[in-house]
Amino acid sequence: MTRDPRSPRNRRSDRDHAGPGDEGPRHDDAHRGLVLGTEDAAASPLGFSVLVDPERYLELDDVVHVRTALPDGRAIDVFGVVDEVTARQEGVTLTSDVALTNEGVLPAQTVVAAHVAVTRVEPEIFVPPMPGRPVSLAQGALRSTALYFDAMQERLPLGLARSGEPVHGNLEFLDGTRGAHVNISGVSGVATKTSYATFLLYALFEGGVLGDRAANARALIFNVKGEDLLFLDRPNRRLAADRDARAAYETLGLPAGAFGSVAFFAPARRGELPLPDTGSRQEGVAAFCWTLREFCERSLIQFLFVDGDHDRSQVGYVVDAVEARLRRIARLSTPGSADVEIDGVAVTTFDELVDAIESHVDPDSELADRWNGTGSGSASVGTVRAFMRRLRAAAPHVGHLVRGEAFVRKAAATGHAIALDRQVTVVDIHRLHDRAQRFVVGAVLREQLEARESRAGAERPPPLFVVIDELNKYAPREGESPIKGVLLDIAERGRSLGVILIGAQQTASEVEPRIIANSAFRVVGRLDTAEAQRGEYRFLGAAMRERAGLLKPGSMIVAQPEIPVPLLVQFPHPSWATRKQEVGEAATNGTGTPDAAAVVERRFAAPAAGGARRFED
Amino acid sequence: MPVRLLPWQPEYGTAMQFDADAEAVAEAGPPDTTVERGVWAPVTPEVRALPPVLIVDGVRRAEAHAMDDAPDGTPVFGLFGSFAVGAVRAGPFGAASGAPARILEERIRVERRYFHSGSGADAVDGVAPPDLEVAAGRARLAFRAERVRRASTANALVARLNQSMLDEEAKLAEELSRDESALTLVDGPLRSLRSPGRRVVGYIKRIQQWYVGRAELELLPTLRAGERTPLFHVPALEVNGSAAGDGRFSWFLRVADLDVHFHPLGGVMRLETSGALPLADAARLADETAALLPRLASSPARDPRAPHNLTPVAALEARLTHLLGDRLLIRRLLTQAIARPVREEVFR
Repeated sequence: MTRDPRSPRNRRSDRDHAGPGDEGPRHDDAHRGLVLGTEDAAASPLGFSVLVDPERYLELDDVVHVRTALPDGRAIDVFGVVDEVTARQEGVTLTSDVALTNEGVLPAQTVVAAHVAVTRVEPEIFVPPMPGRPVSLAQGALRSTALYFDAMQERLPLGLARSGEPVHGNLEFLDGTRGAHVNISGVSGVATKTSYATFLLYALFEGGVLGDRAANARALIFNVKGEDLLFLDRPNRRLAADRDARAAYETLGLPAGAFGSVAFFAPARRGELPLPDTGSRQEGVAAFCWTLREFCERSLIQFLFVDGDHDRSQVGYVVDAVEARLRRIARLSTPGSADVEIDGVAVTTFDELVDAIESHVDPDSELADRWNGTGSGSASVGTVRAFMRRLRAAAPHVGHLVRGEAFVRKAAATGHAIALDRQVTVVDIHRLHDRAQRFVVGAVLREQLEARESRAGAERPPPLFVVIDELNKYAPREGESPIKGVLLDIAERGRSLGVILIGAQQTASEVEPRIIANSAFRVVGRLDTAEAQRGEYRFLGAAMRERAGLLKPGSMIVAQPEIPVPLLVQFPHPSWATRKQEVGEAATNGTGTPDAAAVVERRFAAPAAGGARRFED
Repeated sequence: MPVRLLPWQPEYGTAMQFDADAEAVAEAGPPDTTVERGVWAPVTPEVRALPPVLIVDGVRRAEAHAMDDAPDGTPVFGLFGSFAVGAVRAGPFGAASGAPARILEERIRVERRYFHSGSGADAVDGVAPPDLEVAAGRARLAFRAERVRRASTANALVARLNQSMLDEEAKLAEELSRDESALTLVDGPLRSLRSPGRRVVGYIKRIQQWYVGRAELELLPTLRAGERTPLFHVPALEVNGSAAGDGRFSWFLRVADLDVHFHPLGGVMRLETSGALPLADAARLADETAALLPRLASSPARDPRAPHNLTPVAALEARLTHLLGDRLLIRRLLTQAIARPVREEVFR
């Protein structure tokens, strides 16, 4: 009675019973039940319920198929996904009746009903499936039809369904052809947001889905917490023992290995040595910073003012004025040098630059060239003070990221800029102060955006995938800031520039709605139950909202434009190392970056104990 | 004694249907209250394992009253009625639980009739009113025409509908009672069973007469749930001066201990079995029912005729009523079916 209908044995025996030409759905291996037509479970073209065959079962996420007929004989195929399953006792009215039933006094019948959210009707004649029609599990081609996989020109594996079959995403909605951007929400720690974002990148770059574009496609990942992104180029040792994970990668059509082409950047350490400031990984990590000239030339000062300042309009006025002055200064300074000259004096460190700015914006300054405007256009004393307060507050956290000629010359061998030479570039900013993190993200993204804008060409540029966690910090719901402007720019125009944002945050309700709205793929990991009830998650539907509170690490709910219902996917454990202990024996495929840190160490810090000790940490 | 309530909800009447003025003793003569024991005292049976029980019941429903005119001008009453009979099986019962109770779906019968008082109408024409078949989706409801003799009122047709149901119940009980591993319970007296099995018991929810005298009646309020009175023998009615048959063994038992605001006779029920049984067999049946029925008695929360209407029976009735079909829908189908020929005649 309670045999598992999915066991191969059962499947075979069913097939044996079905004779040739026997089309009775009841003998069909895939048969699961009958369409219901009761008052409270009436069938509609958008959803219907199924009386589940007592010998079989349907579970959430099962994909089903019903064929119903029009009066003229035409067949309509209705496809859907099970979004609720209920078990009831018929013949009972009171709560206590269940005990009477168990005592054997009250006859009752247990029935299981499943609700199906319709995903597709072929041909598109929206009639309800008729009550009594047999419902079967959609497998193979039928399942592909139900989930629109058949219509996807380029498919990206998103993970595995509960049934073990792959779930695909339409690449056209990710690469900018018809849509772009991914947004991932979920509780930190259990939602595995970053892991999933990395998995998507892995599928994109190592799964061959990008085809010819793979060579020029790039990914830029900001590592804002932990160090689990610092070993993307190393295979995961644990995978050797994890047969299920390896099988999952195979089902998904992905190799189980590491990213092939990765570069790592970390901010330059404080002090005079151009060493990257990282934790457990030293080798293959390059240090990055900006020169004073770049800081002035590229108007990077605005990214020091990122708080949701309500009086930003006033402070912003001063920022704009100073920005313009700094650009002019950069133009007038000696070409080829990382330093700048202000009033004929060389400015060689960030602190000197801040001092120079202060002396020029001070309303009481005796300098003839005052930067805060003149006459009626000059900013008030209060505004200037506010400006300086913020600049001074930021300086200690950001100063070491903006360097002069002396420092940059030492780093000349390895360069100081973040170059996207490899397919995947990880910018590790997790050791930076909050303000410095925003500065880096804002500055790097603006540079990339501007570089792409200036690049002429009729063809669509190759995609750049930008992965950034804690989106709520950079693009909060309330307030305006330069960095939020950059992100919004990417969300709204990035599609045409080929810049694809893969953003993540704990709570979508705290992020600028326009960024979420522009995301074609919306992904949810484990959600706080109260958060799940917010309007930002309406796309999940009632049943999935509740489930979002139960998701385990490795399970995500993915909504994409073509499929009208969100789908639950599970993605396998990373096949790349996520911490030092997981790094497998296999080397870096010979593509690791030249060991910049080691090179610098040898050249500049022969006796340096500091750097050497780091290796032992 | 202060006034106390009777348990049923009033729209279902009451279990107390007897005539207080009538003689306590039945028409067939005084029952013998000493057949089982010399002393008229409570019997507390010790039944270790409760047997499975089959309970037969039926429901009926008048769908529509009708009227026709005979050729001679006399009115002819008609009644469209439906009835269904079935059985539910419960037990065997252990200490705390039993086997799942089950409605014997395969034994359920749903019948539809058109009763009419066509006195002589068919005799004159030689043609009986035709059966009426109405289609309800894929199902066809066939109301088989049946003439009720000596029916001069519409109510007589309703009584006939009830009798048809009781006949079917009796038939089903006879069939089921061939299985002697189970106890077969029938709603009402056993009279209508022509050849009952040896383990058939009738339970009488509505007490029409007490059979025993006032002195014996005083024992009833003192019974507790699970206790019964000793058996008493009710002789068969005399037909033409001689008793026809063996009469019946009967006993009272309490199905439920009720709250103090109920009259102590409120939870009492009378049961009977064939008088042809050996006394020991009848006593065993009595013991089994005394242990079994309190277990099956319904709670006032789920049944308006609690505690008498047994829980499995209520479920069976609900199922049977469901199988009769939707009352309004059937009424509408009948209306359509009857209107069509009439309209055609008008427009012809």
